[in-house]
Amino acid sequence: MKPRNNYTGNLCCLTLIFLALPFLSFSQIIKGVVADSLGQPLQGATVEIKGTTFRTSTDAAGVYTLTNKNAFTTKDIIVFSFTGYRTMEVPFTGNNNISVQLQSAQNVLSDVIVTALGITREKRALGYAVQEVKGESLTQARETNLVNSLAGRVAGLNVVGGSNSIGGSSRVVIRGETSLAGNNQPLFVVDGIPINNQVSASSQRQNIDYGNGAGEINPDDVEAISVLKGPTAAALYGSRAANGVILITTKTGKGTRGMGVTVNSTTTFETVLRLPDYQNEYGQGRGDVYNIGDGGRSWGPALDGRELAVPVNTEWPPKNGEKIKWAPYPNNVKEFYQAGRTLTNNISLTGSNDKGNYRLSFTNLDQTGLVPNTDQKRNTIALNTGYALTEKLRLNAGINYISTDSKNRPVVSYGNESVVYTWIWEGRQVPTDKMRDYWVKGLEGVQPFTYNYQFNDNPYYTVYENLNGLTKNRWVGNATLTYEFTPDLSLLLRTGLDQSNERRDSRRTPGSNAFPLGMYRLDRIFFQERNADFLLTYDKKLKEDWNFKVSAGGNQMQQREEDLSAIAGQLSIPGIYNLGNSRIPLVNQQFDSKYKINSLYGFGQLTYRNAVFLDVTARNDWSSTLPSANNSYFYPSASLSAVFTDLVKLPANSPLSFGKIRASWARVGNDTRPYRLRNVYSYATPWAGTQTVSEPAAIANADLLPENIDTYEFGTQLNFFARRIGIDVTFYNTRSRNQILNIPIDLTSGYTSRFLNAGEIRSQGIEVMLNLNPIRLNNSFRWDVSVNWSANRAKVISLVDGINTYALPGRYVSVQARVGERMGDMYGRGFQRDPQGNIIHLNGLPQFTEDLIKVGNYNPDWMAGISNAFTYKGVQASALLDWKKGGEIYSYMYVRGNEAGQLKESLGGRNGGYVGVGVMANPDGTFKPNNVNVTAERYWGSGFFNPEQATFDATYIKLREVKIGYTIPNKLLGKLPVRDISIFLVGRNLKLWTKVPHIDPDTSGISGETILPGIEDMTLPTPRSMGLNVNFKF
Amino acid sequence: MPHKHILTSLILIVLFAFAGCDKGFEEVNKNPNNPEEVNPELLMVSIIRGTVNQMVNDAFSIGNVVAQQSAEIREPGTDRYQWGSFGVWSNGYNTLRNVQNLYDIGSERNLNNYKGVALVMRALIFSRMTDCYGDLPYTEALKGKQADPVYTPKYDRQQDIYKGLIAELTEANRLLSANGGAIRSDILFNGDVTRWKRFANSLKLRLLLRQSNKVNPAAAMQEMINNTATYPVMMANNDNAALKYVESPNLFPITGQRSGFFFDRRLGKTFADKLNEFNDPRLRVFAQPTAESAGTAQPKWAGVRSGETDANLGSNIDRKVSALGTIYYLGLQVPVRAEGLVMTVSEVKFILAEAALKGWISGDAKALYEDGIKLSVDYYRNVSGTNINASAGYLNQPGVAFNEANGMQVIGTQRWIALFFNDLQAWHEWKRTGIPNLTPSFVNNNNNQIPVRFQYPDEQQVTNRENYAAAVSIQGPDNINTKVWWDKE
Repeated sequence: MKPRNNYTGNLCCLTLIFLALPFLSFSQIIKGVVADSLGQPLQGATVEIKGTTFRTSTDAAGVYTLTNKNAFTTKDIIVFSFTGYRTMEVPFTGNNNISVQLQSAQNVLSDVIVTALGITREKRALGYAVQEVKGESLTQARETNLVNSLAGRVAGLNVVGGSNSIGGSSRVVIRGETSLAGNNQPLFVVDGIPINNQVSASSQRQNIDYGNGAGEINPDDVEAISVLKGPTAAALYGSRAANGVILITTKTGKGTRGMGVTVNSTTTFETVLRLPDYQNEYGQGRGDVYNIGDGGRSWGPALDGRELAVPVNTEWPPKNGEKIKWAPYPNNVKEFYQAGRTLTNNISLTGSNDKGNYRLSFTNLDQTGLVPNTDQKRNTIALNTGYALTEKLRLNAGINYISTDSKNRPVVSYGNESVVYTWIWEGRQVPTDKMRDYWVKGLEGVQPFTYNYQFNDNPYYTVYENLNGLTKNRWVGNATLTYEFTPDLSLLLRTGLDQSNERRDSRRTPGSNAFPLGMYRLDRIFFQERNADFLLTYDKKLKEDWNFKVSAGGNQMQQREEDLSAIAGQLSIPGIYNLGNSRIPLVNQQFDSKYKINSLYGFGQLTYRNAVFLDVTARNDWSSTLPSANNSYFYPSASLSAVFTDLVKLPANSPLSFGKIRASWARVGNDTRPYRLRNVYSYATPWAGTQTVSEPAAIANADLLPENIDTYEFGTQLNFFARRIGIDVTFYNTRSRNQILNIPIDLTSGYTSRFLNAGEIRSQGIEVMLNLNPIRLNNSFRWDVSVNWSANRAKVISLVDGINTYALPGRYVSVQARVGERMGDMYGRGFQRDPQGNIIHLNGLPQFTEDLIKVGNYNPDWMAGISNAFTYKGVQASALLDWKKGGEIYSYMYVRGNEAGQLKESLGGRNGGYVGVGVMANPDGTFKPNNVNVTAERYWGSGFFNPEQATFDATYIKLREVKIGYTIPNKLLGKLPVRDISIFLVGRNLKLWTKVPHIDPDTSGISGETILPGIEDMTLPTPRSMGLNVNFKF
Repeated sequence: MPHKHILTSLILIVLFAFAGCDKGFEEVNKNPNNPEEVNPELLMVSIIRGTVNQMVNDAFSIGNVVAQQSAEIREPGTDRYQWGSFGVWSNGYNTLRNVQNLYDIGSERNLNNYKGVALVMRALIFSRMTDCYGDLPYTEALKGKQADPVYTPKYDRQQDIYKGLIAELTEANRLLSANGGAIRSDILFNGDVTRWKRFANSLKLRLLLRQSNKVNPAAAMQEMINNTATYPVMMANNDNAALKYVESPNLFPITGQRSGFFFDRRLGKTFADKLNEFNDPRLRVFAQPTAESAGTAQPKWAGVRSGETDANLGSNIDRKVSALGTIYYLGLQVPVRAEGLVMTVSEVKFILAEAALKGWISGDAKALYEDGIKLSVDYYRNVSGTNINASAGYLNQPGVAFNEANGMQVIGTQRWIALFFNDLQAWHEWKRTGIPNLTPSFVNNNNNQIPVRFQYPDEQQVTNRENYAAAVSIQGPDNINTKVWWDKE
């Protein structure tokens, strides 16, 4: 394609500048064409002589002309590079015409990586640890929550499964926890724009998991994910990047010729990975006597097949005399869960020409959950365009529209609306089939049938009638203008938006235990973040070996949040879900907030012989949340890396093929949340029209200072035997100081906490990545092994004078930061023990400590991900193992399940009583073996206040992912319009190995908008997913 | 080229936006949702409702149970003395924060009646707490937001707390007056200053009696009884401090529970036996006939033994023992007739009867005692809408009839009955007097001792550790068997 006339003038200008440069001597010229693997010319590819400043780029026909002031020699190496393609080096052999075909980077080990602000850089140039996950690994065996796809793939990245709710949230922490008050989660950035990753669980009576923001990003639109582990990127993204950045680059139409159509379709089915080990020998009742009218415990008579009438119930008709066989239904819980189904279909159109490119994609996700009548539908439309408005002015714009819809999401924590709860308090003799028809005959719509009217709702009634719906519309967009004043100087202007409108409808029909007269609750949540940036970049070659680049920019971030909720606590007319239908005064809540940060920043790079790289950054923020005297804070960073194998001549037979060392240091400042400077009163429920307020228990602080975090890291990357073996090791150390803490103070002071700057956390760790290529045969068979391993220890160095303990969010156990101890320690009462460590009993029951003792720590000792991949011609197979060693989890299932007599352990001592293993006190204070026999019911019912007995080593290995696929060679397709057909059998969460009883330890509790790691709170079962992925192009 | 102008102006706009890097930030960070200052009446509902609801819940789940007026049949943790700290402490100090604000706003604006109300509520809440826990932070408490803040208050001895509370009630009585300004949003006494005064002085009588094993109350009581114009006390059921609930969500707190929680607490055998023995007219208000006997010609009221065995609890016991009365529960969120009892005139009469009996004040102990019974029965007649009466036959029967020799016994027994569902008062009075004679729960986890104290909250070991340790070393082990000061011989 030839340049159009109106650009001729610009070209002339360029040529003039070119000619005016005095040092060019045109002594020798190399020409050629750069094309892709299919022979299509690539415009804008860089062609340079290695180690020199001589460089050019290709025109629209892929043609380049490279000049050298001296004659080319056979020492010269010509380097061809282009974003998205593998860099190629060709030694000069005397031939002046060198044409090459570049391989798409998607198919090869990539050497470039997207870093902060979307800048593509060679990996070798980075002075800090970055790891990349390619888009296709997210779309074959897929997770509907993007965050879950990262589990096991990145060293130092800890993904903790959440509630297992359909559409539920996940927690990700990079390099351990450094903040006492923050959520420790990294910043998610899509195409240069920070996006909202709030966990939007509800603060309702019983927790419902509405997902985390980043989980909504559509995997089909993701080109690559770069995980920037340290805070080095914070200078560019601000304080929120202090916990690392997960940088998502979306696909564009760049590089496609004409119009391309890609279709990706996945169908998976989900089943329950693990259910608790229920006992199947005893039915409901207590004291070995049958009684299910009152209470739900299973300490009744043996399920020996006798006939009994149900339900016996004194509080509600019908007094049904129906007889049932008193026998266990071992599969009653299993039968309740259904097979989930997930359909994901994506179609994308791409195209590009010399001036622009586009990609338009539509994705439909349609999912039903393991819990009956729960679902999630998500439609995503993504448009990405790039257009050269003029030779110097380029526009890139992208918009994502994500619409999420759930008719119903399940309750995920302990409570009578949780189906997991229900199956603890419904006995083993309850047949699932009898529950399905959940209305009492003749009382349809009024009274559901259940086996225990005083506490439990029929689980089918709960999931079919008491719905927790969600509708969410989200827009994530950006527009970027870049203008090249000169080849050295360019300006970028960018604006970004993340805006969502969410509506939650909680509906309760009359007749439930919790809402006998029904209930309706409406929540509307608006969130908006706007970012505006400018960035001026000056890129200058100094002398032959030196390169110099400096940028200065600014950012303005504005956030707005508006939450409205209204509760109609009782309904006048059943079935009408409208706030006007409330029998009683509505309870309303409103919270609006605004938040602004202005920033100025700069960064520079100095490169020596493309082998030594020095990067420095500096940033100053002004935050609206801090007092005006302290609202400005500055933070710098520096990193240095050297590819020493390029600086030192290695012996020809050296096993080392590549070696790099790197070091970096960074500081990050941080602000706080809005409205923490002044005390206010909050509204309380009015009394029959009389308004009232109450003062919150936290003391505001008008003198808060910004926080700061210092990190340094060292690392090295070594490749041996022509990249057969690659190893990358990083050590890091992070100290966070002056944290803005809501320090607990003693309630007797009238307040439970006050805001102040205090505390120091030190987090250090090691990350190792190992890539092996044990087999690489000429017949194209290839075996690749990739291992990542990381260990982190985050320790509390100090808190506040006089305070040695800081309580973090927890439930059932107390999560405490104690000076000198590890982050993530969990405390609770434990067993009293004699000097030999035996459990002390009194009257046959174990005795508990008065003090809270450490019962565990929820952070793993180390984590590893092991991936094996095999390819042979068109066949690919891979498996990913995710291994977390150590750490503890508290299981509420264990506590209540055994108290209820439902789990296997509670069979101990059913016949003739239980003699606890341990000792009892002699009158003189010495101990003798415990010999007091108590009923199993008393023994297992006594553990409620003792978290120690329910805290287990959380070590697990999970077979995260297995893929087996075949790509049909295009030549077999002949003249069919379809190309690149690949078919994969895929599975996720296929197998779990753990010693934790009953549950999958890869879970966490949820409380309002806070994820509670280390706590299993009647979590729903983990789905095991298996299915088929088909991908093809037109 | 036109795009150059666009670019130039864009740059200018951006630079301009950054010119004042924190311009207008104070406005951005001004909380649009909540007030920084409020009128005092806005605190009234929170303070009163917060305190009374807690008293009702505690009466239901602890007070009635440990005093063996009720007993648990499903989750017998309280009956088996698997006790911890309970919520009295956290509710108390959290409410006291708002009480302190009420007092401070009253002081700033010179509104004596709000100051008086604040002092009465303060004394009520502190006395609730110290009677349960013993020593606790008092003089240094509630100073977290002051200019010279105290974040870890030291504990005061219970005798000093009592001295302080009695002085505060005296001061409250002085502040509360017709010209102290209107009391608005007063859901307890509807703004009636005199009723607040009567409550303040009645509460003072309760405290004087409660510490009477340690401090002779004669002079203080006489000063009040001889100056009733200055120190009015409750005289009639109209004077009762009892919260009348309205509509959902401001219903009798027990109605917020699923039925299973209500039916877990049944009539206690100790209570049922005594009320059956006396043929007490209040029994049919306090409890329902057993399910077995309901609707038959001879409805029966029966109680369950405290700390009953699992086997007996399993044997359809719910049909054999009485549920608590329908004035307390008709279903979740269904309005009921019961009120939130803080203090009633019948208790005042029993206090005066005991004081007269012991010679601390002059008065007719018998008449005061019988007034106490009659006022209690009258109260339950009105609340329940039934036609029960304290007949002469009731008053004159053995076990009820008063004489000098059995005076303490009958006063204590009747007080125990009258204090049903009234906070934890029946338990405290049992601790002080040993009346009625209670046998520990049949099955219990406390070595056959009825608990006499709550443990301090776990957080005390974290947020106030040194003062906690000092308090424990003075008061005795932090367990449920350590007696508080006024309870010691």
